[in-house]
Amino acid sequence: MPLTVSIAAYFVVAAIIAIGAGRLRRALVPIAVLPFIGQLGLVAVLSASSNASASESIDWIPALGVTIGLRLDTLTFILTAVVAGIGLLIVVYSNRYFSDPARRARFLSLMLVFTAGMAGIVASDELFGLFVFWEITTVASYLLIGFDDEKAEARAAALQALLVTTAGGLAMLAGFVLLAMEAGTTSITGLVSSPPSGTIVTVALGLVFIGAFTKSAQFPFQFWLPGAMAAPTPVSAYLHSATMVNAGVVLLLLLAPGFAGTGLWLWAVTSTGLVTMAIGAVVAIRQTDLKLLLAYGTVSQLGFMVALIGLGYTSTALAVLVAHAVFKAALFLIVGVVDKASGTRDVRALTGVAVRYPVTAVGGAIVAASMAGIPPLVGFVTKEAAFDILIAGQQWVALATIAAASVLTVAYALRWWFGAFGTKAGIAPPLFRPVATSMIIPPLVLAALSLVFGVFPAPLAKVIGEATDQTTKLLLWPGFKPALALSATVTLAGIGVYVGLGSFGYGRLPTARSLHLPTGAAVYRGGLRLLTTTADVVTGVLQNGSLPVYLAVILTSVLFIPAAIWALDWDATIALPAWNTPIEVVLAGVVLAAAFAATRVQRRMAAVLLLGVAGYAVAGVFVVFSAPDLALTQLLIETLTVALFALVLVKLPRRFGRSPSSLSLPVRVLVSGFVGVFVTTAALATSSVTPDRSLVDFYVSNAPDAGGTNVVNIILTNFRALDTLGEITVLAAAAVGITGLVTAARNRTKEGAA
Amino acid sequence: MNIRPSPLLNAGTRTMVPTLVLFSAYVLVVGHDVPGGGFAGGLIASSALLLVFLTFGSRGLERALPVDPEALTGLGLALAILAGLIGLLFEGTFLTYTYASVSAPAIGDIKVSSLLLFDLGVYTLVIGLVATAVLRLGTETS
Repeated sequence: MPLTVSIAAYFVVAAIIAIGAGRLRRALVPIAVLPFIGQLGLVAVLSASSNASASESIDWIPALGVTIGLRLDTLTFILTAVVAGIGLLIVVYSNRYFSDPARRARFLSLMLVFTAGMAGIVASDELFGLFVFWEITTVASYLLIGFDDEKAEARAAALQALLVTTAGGLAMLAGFVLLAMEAGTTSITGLVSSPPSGTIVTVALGLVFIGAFTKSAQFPFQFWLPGAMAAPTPVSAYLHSATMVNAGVVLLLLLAPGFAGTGLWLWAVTSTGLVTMAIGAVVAIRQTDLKLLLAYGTVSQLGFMVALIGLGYTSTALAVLVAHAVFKAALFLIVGVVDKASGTRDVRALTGVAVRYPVTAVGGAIVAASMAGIPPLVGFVTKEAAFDILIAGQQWVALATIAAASVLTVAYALRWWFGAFGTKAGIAPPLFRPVATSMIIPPLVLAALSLVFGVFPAPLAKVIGEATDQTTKLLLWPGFKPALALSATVTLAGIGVYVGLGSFGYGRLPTARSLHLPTGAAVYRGGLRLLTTTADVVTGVLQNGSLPVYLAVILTSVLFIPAAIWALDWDATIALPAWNTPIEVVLAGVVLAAAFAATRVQRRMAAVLLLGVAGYAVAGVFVVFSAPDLALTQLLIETLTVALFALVLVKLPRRFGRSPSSLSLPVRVLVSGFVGVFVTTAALATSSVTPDRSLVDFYVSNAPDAGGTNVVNIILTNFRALDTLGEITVLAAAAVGITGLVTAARNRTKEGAA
Repeated sequence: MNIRPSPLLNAGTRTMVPTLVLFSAYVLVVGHDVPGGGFAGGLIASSALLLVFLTFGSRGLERALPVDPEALTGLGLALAILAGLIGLLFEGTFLTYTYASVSAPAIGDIKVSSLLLFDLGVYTLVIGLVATAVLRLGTETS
């Protein structure tokens, strides 16, 4: 179980950090790096051993068939290395980013929990185990995005990310249930090796796509990702380069071997990816905040991966994923350095940073060039592979879209670098502060990796080929081929766009608002508003403060729901026995007389006493039918009810008012008449049925072994004890409610008096 | 509440309350075999509390019941859940009961069951609920 243990280690260390936050201080980061190093070491050892197709599994909830199953294959190793490797660098970086040890501890423990979820997703081979890890990342990301919880903007962004990704996660869960039912297995390997088909599977895949698209910020759900930039930079660097947003892409990668090539997959996934890639690139170019620019760039790159998976090029998509994780994490981290050094991330306020931080500027240039796809960097190698395979497959629409978006990518990469580091005329340089070396080294490591993978792509190509059972051509020098010509054209066009836009002015570019296009964020806000308005209206109608209206709503519901079902499916016969003993006639007379009199008397106290009389008479009926427990309880309840009523009634007028109710008399007569008829019919019908004795016999014969000979009491306390526990919980809630209402009313009276 | 002190009520309450409380405990304990149980027992004890309230007012009831009624409600729920957890611990299932026999001198073997603990929880909770209602609703707001 080594991989399972390595994932559990994140949780353990998270708990240690959360508990020992006050004491560890300087030791926080050295402790936090341990599970990352451990998992990287484990991946190195496991991938070196030849046993490539091993797996681990733990029965987690056997009653529901939920298993945590992990694959120990090359795909897991690559993705785990990305998650743990970049995580390690982020942890090192965070040591000086969060100068306050309390904040650092909070960040580290949340990030470790998040990493555990992410490491679980990339290794999972069980649908429901994957779902659990998926939701762990959702909850952890909510807390990470809302890290600066004193800022309303951060809280709103976190809530938005939570609602969007949770909604998607629920859709995905429904899709998983359908897939598991159709395939007869919850194993992803089993699912893709003999994929089911049919309408249900199409629906299921559609639901899974919603989950993947929300998580990976695909159109039209992309809006939560830029909002999530309210998070501290290490969070953005981790969640939005190497982890969270990749989860959807990973899910599609896992399912692709079984379903890529089906009609829905080809169209839905490819077109979503292409649209997202284009929109992300278009919006990225006009951003002035360095982080927002990168956020939209991430949306665009995720679209790129999704489009490749849609067309079935999983190996190329995986290569893009790795390349993107490496350069995008570095880009975010460098924004953090620039922000710490100058106090701003706005391209309009930054100037002269390169002069002051030449090493960081060079690192930034390398990773920005990788994003733009310039040789000899890994971004070039992977983009070149994508162009090559699309040309070979003659997928011209996809090729044209990706090429166009790549032009914009070159342009926004230039804008990012010159925005961050360039020297601009007419702006006063910000006051620079020193930045710790431990914040500069992590992005430089990633820049070096971009260079190494770019110059020596063969090992990367080999493991990606193993992971996806699909060869990919990752070459630094592909030779004079159409793809190279396209790359050169794209780069030159990108430079042209950057220069052209620079003189045109970014502010004059049209926006979704100026074009009157509905944006996802507007739909989200509208949906939330609709929800609260509806809740407002429903509450206003159902809970208007009038007790007669409350009663009428409850009674009408009783009539409409069970009575309607019953009326549609009527098969009871009603027997009307006259009476068993003459005393029943007397008791019935008392009940009827008391009930009628209660409606006629003018004094409240008299009405309550009459209701008590009716209740006592009903207790007498229970005695006649030899139900002593019921009779005892009924008598006690009636006594207490009358007494409690009296306590409240002394505060009310002695007599009923002339118009005591907000409901008119005919309505009240109608509702109570119908309810009376329904209850009477129901009582007669159920007592006419000859009951099945088996349950009764079971209770009677087993009660002595279960604690006593009073069957009624044993049913309440043993056979159906959970029901009783539920009921007394309701009673406890009622007690809390009484106290709460009275205290609130008293406070209001005090405020009114003051 | 504005009740005039009544000597009859006073004397009646003084004799009735101990009897009612004792009777409620009896009803609670024998409930597994004859009519009764935690709910009925709790209601009987509550009616004793109500008598105290009607005779001596909320001050008197607060003296007679020196704990917060809300705390009593919570204690009852906690006891019932505890009874369930004991089952989980000893029998492997929540709300399954376990028994132990205790031999007491002169009385003989007494069967002690977590079932009784559950009923005691119900009993306590009902008293807490009624006491809450009486004290919070019956006390003048001014």
